[in-house]
Amino acid sequence: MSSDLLTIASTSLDVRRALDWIASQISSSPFDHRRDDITLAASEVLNNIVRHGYAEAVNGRIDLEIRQTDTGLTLVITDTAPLSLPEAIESETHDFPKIEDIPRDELPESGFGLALIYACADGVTFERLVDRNVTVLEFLS
Amino acid sequence: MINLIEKRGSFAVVAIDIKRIDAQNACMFRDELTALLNAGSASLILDMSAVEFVDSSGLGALVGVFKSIGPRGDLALASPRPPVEKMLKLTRMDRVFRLFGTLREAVEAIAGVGSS
Repeated sequence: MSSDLLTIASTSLDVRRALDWIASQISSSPFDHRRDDITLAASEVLNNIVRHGYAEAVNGRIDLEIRQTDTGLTLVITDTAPLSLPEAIESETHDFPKIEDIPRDELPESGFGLALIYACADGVTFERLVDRNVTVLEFLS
Repeated sequence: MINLIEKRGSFAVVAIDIKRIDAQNACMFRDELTALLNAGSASLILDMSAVEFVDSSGLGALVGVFKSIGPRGDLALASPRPPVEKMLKLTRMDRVFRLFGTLREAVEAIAGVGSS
């Protein structure tokens, strides 16, 4: 098993840096064909931590770890925000809204993040520990 | 961020000159497109061929623009790359926006006439 680490600050610009790092880590790996799923799920987790967990405070810390085996990639995202991700976006659901049933002027402009995370990852775990939040995303090769 | 290619009648053709529409730039992206609407374009055709990534914030910006257009016009997305198209399908927004494989197809559909 290989493992790689990155620490970023809680800004949307740093989220971009993290996504570039993830893409580079899985390039030429058995998971490269899952790049779109992995980066989209990671983007939704990271941006929600920045926006809701840390409430846009730029001095927050986010640690990322990628663990790869022949059959699975695990992305572990750790932050110290006061709210865990499910608490921060508690209004969101695991399912996408039935867009067809919604009038144009009432279409939602947010609330897709959690559903995207669950749609893109093969496994999702949120854990609130004493001093940190741990989000684990799993992807099969 | 956006580049007005053509303004014809009530619609504008716009090239999106950024690789990502995400939390970092979604608000500005939306503002620039809204300015085009405010300048008199009822429908927008967006050439998405340069866009490699759209997250939920980018999607929210597109939905916001779509709602600003209202029933008087359309929002057409031309040449979306596979990751962008997949995201639109996952969220079912492919049933809301009009998607076209090429810019020419989009222009023909929105203009309602063939183009040379």
